[in-house]
Parts: sequence; C-alpha cells; structure tokens
Amino acid sequence: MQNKIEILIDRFYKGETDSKEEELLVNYFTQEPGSLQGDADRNVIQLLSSAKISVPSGLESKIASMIDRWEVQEKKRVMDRNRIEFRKRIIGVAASVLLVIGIGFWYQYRNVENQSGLKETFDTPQESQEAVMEALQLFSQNFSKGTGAMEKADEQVDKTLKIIDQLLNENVVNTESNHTSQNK
Amino acid sequence: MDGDEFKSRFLPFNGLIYRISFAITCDMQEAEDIVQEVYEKLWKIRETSATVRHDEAYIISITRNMALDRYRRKLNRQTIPASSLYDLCEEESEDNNMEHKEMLGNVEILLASLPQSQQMAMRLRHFSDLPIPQVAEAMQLTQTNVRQLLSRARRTLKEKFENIYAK
Repeated sequence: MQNKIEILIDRFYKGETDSKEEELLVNYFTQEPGSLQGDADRNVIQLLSSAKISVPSGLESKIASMIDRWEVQEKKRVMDRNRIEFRKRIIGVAASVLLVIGIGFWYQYRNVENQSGLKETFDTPQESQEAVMEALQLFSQNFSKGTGAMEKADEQVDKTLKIIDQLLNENVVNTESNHTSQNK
Repeated sequence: MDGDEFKSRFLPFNGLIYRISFAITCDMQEAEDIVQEVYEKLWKIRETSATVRHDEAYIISITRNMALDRYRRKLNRQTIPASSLYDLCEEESEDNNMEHKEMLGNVEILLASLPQSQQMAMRLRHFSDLPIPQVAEAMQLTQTNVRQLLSRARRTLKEKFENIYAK
C-alpha cells in the first residue's frame, strides 16, 4: 500500500495522475495518521484538496427560473408581434376595401353627373313646372326669332310686288297713250 | 427549442460554468453573474446553437471569454497587485466558512508566486476540480501542456514547504 502511494505521489508531481488517483491520495492523507509538520507532500495535497470550491446550492434553480422568465417574456413578445401583424393586416384590408368602395362611388357619381341632362323625371312638381316653363320660354324665344325673320321677308316680298305692280301700271299707261296717238 | 428542452440540454453545465468563471475571476459573485450571462447568451442563440456538435467545448469557450473580459475590466478598475488575489477573494467571498477562506487564501498566497499559466491550471484543476481535459479546453492548451504546468506548479509548492521546514 505504502509503495502504491509513493508511486502515486511520484506521478502526482509529474502531472500524470487523474482525478480518481488524486482522490485516493487525498483520502490516504486524510485517513492515515500523521503530522503536517515536516511532511511537504501531506501539506501540498491537503492544502490543494481543501481549497476546492463548491457551486452555490441555489444556482441551478435560480438559472432554471430565469429561463422560465425568458420563455414567458419571449412568448409575450411573439404574441405582441403577431397581434401587431394581425392589426396591420386588418388595417390593410380595411384600407383596400375603402379604396375600392371610394373608387366605386366616385365612378357612379361621375356617371350620374353625365346622365343628369337626360333626366326624365323630377322629384317635385315645382321643379317639373319650372323645367316646363323654361323649356316653353326657350321655344317661344326661338319661335319669335323665326317669326320676326318671316315678317321681314314678308315685307320685302310686299315691297317687290308693289314695285312690279307700279312698273306694270306704267307700261299699261304708255301703251294706251301710243294707241291713242296712232288713231289720231 | 422550448424552455424545457433548453434546460435539459444546457442546465447541467451550470457547475462547470461557475467553476471556470471562479477560477478566472476568483470572485464568487462575479462567477454567478457570468453564469447568468452565459445562459442569457445561450438562450439567445439557442436555435443556431442546435448545430453545435460539442456543447461542452462551446460552453467552456464562451465562459472563458466572458470571464476573462470581466476579469480584465475589474483589473482595470481596481489596479489589483498580482500578489493580492487572495485579498480580492477574501473581501468579496460569500463563504462563511472562515477556515476554508483561510485555506484558500494560503493556497492563493503560495500560488501568487507562480507564473500566470501555472496558477490558472492549478485553480482550474484543484479549486474548481475540473478534470484535465476540461482544464485543457478552458486554457486552450493540449492535455500534455496542462500536465506539464501542473507538474511544475506542484513541485514548486512542495519546494516551498520543504524550504519552510528546512529553516
């Protein structure tokens, strides 16, 4: 046993021991009675083994709860992002529908405006009456213009006829006077 | 990857992350903060980290980088003399076991005279109780190199005790 320990100590200083072998050494020096005084090997091995740190007991659960928190936060972020995306989509669709309806209304309104001259009926009797009066007045004015021109033409014709009559009368008078002079 | 899957995959590494962080910062509170930071990072990249083949190596790597960053920032703030790492541990330690703190302090005082790489190898192996492969991973060295560092450090410690008793 002692020989085995000596070999292990030798390998320890050469850096050749593994964790299990070093544990054997630590156990040996812990269990085997002996004084630290004057024993450099015992000092080195016990000092190094006693300097081992331990991981805080609550560390794992602390990290686990942190991970849970991150997961919740991330899910919330994803949900918020999806909600925003959904809203954007809805707003987009609503805007498109409004645009289509707007174009439809505008197109129809424009057609109605174009067709308003061809309107056949009126909403109220007053409007109907006014429109009739206006139409008759227009007709009357145009008709008056037409009759005015006719009157002028009639006058011209009368004048011409008078001139013709006058000329004819003069000719008749002249021929009668010639006949009488010949007879004489 | 949901919370439960993440926990079952990464939570078992909390001790390893803590031990490496402590070995580098020599500060229990800092080590706990680093554990949280590492998990926060792992959570953020959990979808992409699904392709990581060796979780342990990856976690050791990001822990080392975070712990070294914090340690350097702390050194810049406090300008701690290299020989007084023990004071830092004693001041901020939450460990109520005075005997353990004293022991830790004694080792730190002894370690303080060693080169940084040997100190780090000893802390990772003996304070944090990590096996050689993980120490090598944390120090980005080969296992042979780590064994050499440990060998030199252990021999130096032995000589120091022998010198004490020789007087």
